[in-house]
Amino acid sequence: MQKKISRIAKYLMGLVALTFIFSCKKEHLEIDSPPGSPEPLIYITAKLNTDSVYFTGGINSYVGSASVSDTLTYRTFNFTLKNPQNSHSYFQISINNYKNVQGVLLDDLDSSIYTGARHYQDTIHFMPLAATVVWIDSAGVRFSSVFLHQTHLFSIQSVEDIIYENKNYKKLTVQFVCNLRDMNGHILHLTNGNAIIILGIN
Amino acid sequence: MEKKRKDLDNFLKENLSDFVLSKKKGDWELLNHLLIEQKRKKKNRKQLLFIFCFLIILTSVVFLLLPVEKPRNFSHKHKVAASTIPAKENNSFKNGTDNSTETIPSNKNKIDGGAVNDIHQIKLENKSTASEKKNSVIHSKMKDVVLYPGNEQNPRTEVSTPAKTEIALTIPHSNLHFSDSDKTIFQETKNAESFAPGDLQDTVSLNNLSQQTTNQSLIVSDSLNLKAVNSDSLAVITKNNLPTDSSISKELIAKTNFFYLNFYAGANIYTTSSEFTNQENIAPLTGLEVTHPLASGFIIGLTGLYSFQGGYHLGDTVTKESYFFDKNVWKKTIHIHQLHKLYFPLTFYYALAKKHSILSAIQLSYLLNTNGNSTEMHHSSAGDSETQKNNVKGYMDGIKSTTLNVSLGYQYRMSKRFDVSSRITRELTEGYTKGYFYGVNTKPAWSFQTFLIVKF
Repeated sequence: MQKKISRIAKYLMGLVALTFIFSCKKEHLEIDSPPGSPEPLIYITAKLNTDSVYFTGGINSYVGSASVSDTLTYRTFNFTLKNPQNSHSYFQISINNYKNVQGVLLDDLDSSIYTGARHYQDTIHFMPLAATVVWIDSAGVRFSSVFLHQTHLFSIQSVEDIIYENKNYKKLTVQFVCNLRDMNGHILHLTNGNAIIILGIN
Repeated sequence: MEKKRKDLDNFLKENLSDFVLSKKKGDWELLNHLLIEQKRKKKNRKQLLFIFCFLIILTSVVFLLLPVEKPRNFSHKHKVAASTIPAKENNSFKNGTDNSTETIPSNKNKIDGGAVNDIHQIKLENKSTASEKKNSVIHSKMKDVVLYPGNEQNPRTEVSTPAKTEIALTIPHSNLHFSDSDKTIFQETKNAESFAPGDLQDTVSLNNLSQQTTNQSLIVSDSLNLKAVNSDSLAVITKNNLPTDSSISKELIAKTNFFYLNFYAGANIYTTSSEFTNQENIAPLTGLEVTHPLASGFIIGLTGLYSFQGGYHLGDTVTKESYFFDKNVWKKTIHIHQLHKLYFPLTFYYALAKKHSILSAIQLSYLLNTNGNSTEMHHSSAGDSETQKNNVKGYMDGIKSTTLNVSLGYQYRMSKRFDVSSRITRELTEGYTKGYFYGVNTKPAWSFQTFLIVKF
């Protein structure tokens, strides 16, 4: 009986050893899903007078970029969607810091970017939380929403926190209608403005 | 001209009226077909795995449930059997085993050395225990039937003891030589008397038996040649006893109901393919085997073998795109060169002769791990980057982790401790997913293994 028990025990040990072998977890040698979205993430579309424009990050060599510009005590969060090989025909959207003094970058970003309607920066003075839309046409002429009376508000529809390559960003869905003016006083009416933009602190 | 054209049109209309444009297999149909095929293969794989598991369980049950006998008993039994073979073959004496328990035959020639052995066994049993209980043990152990010499003067012997009625007598050769060994038998029988316990009944029976044996010795002609083998067994008939038979039986004696552990070291010759060209490779194999004798000449063995195999060219490239500020293209290329494999053959051996055995096996192979290189390239508007990793370990979807194989082979016994074996193995299931690796032959392949086996 004892012999049988020891035999069964040995056999069970063998089975356990086999189970260990078969349950060894191996690394899956396949490419993991790369960071980012499988579909284009950022875009800007609008109607400029009668012309429609549509730009998408990653298509036709258009690339988005997020930046922070500090001037004196003021801070602005910027997003640009342009083709690096062609410095014409692109948009820039900026949102001012929530206060007139600079704080910790991440805190300023968190405090400045949230859903709601914003005024356009239409005076010479820095307006906290105000938005600015800039359009550079194919000839390289710069049209801006600043210093111009606006009849509509800039609307932030949604805000989403995202981390890409260990960096913090905010993804915004925005709608805008505004007037743009160049240095010579020519005015463009921007309508049906829709965009998904990304703002960050890097 | 126009009439001709009309005729041609009519001709075409008539001939093409029955023509139905066959539908090409659409993508969806193809996809559906592939999915069904994949499902079927998965099911088949499960079934094969189930069969293999069942075989393993069956083997284990056989291992566990086979009766355990002491090798000494087994050897004794086999010695008796070996001594009786020629007698049975020659059939010069009537085999009275069937009718001998109740009657004492008149034929005085129905004597066998096996009886002596059995007497000796009774002696040993009685020596160890002196009770009726022990006799019943003897009764159960000794299945052969008693044949006593035609001693009509001693009819009481048939009812004297239960043990006595169980003693087996097998028929010796007709021209038996009885030389000095008859004295030995007598001596042994005398010894049996001296070892007999105090129990009166047993003693009587033993006396009767010894007397009968003595009578038999006297009755039998001088042709019986008996030889004492050792102190435990009384005599083994050597004349006309084929040496091969006795050696096989001796081997069987050695291989009684025990598990035997064998160490395997050898080489595996297999084929790898790359871009439609085949290449022969050789890899070491090592492992352990547990064997168990099933029946005369049959042995079952379960082996675990490990092999580290090289020479593979299994490449896979994956390209993925992702978007954030820009489009990023990721390209990863993996090249597998080596496989760590385990084999579990369940082998059935059949001994053709003393040194020659044939074998057949059903074998499950399992992919432990793979070795290879990995190259990762990243392209974006910011620039390109490339990283390479060597000796990457892991698994790929295209390599199937388990395959089922069958083997046929031959084993030669070099010495008591060493055997050599070779077997040819054929895969029953595919080792790779079809179309996953470019130019790699996914059909079931052949391989050849050869081993040196060390017995413990």
